[in-house]
Amino acid sequence: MNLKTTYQLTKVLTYSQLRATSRIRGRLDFLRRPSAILLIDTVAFVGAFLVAQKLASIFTTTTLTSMGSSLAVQVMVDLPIFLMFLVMLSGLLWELSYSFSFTSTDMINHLPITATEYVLASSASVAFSYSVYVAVGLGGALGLALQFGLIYAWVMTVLMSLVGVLIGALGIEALRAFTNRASSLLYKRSGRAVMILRLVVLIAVFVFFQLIFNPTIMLSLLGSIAGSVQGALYFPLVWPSLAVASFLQDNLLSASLYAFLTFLLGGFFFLACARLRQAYWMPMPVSVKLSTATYEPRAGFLSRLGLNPAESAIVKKDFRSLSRRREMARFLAIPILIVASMLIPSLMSTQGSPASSAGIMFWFFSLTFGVTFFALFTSMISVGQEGSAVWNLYSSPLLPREFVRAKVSANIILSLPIAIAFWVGITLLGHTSFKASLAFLLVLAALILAESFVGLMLGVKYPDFGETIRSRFIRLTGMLTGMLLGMAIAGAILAPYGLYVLFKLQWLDRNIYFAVACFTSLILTALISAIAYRACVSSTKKLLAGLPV
Amino acid sequence: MNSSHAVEIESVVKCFGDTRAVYEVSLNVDHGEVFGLLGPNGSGKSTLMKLMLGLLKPDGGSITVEGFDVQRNPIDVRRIVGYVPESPRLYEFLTCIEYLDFVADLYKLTAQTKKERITEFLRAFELEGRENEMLSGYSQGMRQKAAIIAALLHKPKLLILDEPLNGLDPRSAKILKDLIHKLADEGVSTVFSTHVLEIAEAICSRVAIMHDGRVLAQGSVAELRSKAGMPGSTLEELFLKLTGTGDVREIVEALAR
Repeated sequence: MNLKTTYQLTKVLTYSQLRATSRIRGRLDFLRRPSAILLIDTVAFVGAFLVAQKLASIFTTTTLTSMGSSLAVQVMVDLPIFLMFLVMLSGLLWELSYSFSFTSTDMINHLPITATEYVLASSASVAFSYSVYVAVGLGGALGLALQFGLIYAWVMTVLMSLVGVLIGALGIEALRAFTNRASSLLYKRSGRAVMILRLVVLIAVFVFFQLIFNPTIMLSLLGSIAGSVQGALYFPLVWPSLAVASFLQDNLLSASLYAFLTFLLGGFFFLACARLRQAYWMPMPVSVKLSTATYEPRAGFLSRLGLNPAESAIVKKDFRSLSRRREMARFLAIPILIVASMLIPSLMSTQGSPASSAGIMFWFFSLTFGVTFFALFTSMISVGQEGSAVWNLYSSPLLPREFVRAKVSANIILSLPIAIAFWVGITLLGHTSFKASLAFLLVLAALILAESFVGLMLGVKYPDFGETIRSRFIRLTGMLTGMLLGMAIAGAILAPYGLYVLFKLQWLDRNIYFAVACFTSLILTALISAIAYRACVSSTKKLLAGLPV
Repeated sequence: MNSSHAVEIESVVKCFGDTRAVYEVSLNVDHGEVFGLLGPNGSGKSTLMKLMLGLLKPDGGSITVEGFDVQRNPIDVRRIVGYVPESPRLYEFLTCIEYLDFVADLYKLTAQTKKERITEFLRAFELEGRENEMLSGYSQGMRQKAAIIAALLHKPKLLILDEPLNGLDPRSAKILKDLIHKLADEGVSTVFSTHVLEIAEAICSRVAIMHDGRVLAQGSVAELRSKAGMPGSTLEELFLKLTGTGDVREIVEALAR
């Protein structure tokens, strides 16, 4: 392995990622350099440090010193696996968007670069790109460590966090290779059933990787195996945290063992990723014949839903996009991931069972959150995912309202079956009353409708058609605004039911209040959707007026 | 809408930052005319074509297509124009037939019309038998054919073809050239850009030579010869003289060293 080549490649990859995603021009052009990341990291580190110091001083000046100390210890222990997860999650969302043909023609495949050099450079570049997490985490931890006399433990946390972040970045490399392998393997077969199988395999790979890196699950695991060295040995991803935990317990032998194992794990990941890349990196786009039937155009069920041919065509295309594009499978994995990562830890405890009343509320919340987030997210990316093929729409006589109706319909038709599946599940497992079951269904339908419109509103306003290594499909401003707005809207739609559950308004007949809650929630949904629809049409007019340059 | 010209471009300007991609361009394309846009790379041909379709907003001037103002009536213009960009990016996850069906639906063609035209064009461009394959597995030439078919499906009144012969095999190129002539006879106008000057000379009734965003000369090849005072010269010689890229000998010698 040539370290100079690796360093140069790391620089090139970092530059390409920064320049592909940054829209900054002019006087702020310096922000498109790697040194800008260092600057941001420094600011984030100092900021987090000051905030943590302030917080810690509040703890030490009150009677809550022991609580503050426990918090500091918890932060030190959890930080390595939390940072590992954050890098992995960011990777899942932003680092796997290279399309199949794009990857196979990537210049990097034709240059004299070895697999080990590429893997090290790529993971270093990814880790560097997300180093702001590390800066915030370690800055905050330092603030707490100084206040509670944990400075040596902090050094151990730094060491383990850095290795953890590298393991997370290497995990992304492994995920890339696995998804390539899944695509290549299944692409050699033809037929529609294989496309579905490929989608299922890709979603399973995403869910598996995310779950094994999930901090909630790992922390539950950490809690259940704490103190048991033998038990912990079987869960390598918690080793970095166990090294810190052992250090904090003054068990230097155990700390050294876990630290050593962590480094060994990093090395193993690195070598495994290099082997995977060597074997599976370059997918071969081959001809895939989906059917042998002769072409027979017919009006499908979409026209019966009231969609015109142009709208139906876009809906059909978007479904095919979601089910056939490797870079889209990660979005379909989102509701499963959210729900699984919330429910698995709860299932580990007896109180999390859907049979208990607290359990049913938690299940309801988890499923609602999963569906809401999915509807919002898929809607937000629905415009940007057109990519450079968007000229097909620009050059066609498509009306803005047709575009909006098509995109929203696609999102609702996609989200509703998932919502209904969740609804059936919770109704059967929780033995809920008819009234609760009806309310749950109404809430899910209302949330899907409102979030689809709001998501599209931002998707149209902030689309990102760039096909880069970190295609977002929506610009960062749109993404962040969408998340905040989406959560606020979900809160507003759920509020009438929340009041009903929380306050149990005894002065009002419960049945009447329930009806009022349903009505209010639906009116709010209609209002939000109508406003968002108008905004969507207006933004689409502007969008379709000129091809983005 | 009736108009004297299929395309009327009047003093159009388009800038990208400090770069003037198209500057004070004025030209007309007649009904049923095959009009060639020639020029070196980066001369503004593709930008001008995008402006004609309303894909880009001009910074100045006006463009009408079949009497429709491109800025005011972009949807009306797109209904009657067929466009093939320089490197058409298609939806690679669709099969060819799904893609063509999608485009036909965007133009709201009836099921019967869709079937007839798609089948006919697939046969003509020799994609029959491969229409159920995903576009991601298509070669560049096959993708170009798919894009050309998509542009022709709705029987446009104006064809805007940006380097349409890129990647096409000789037979398909011949089919396209003959088709352009046949459509011209039926009154369909074509604006066509190419670097292959022999083809431009063979199929275009008039050409415009662009350089640095400006139109240096326009007219039939014979008119250009006469204006340039180069009777008997080829279009290539005219082009190299007008664009100032004539003497390439030194460059070739330097490269060969």
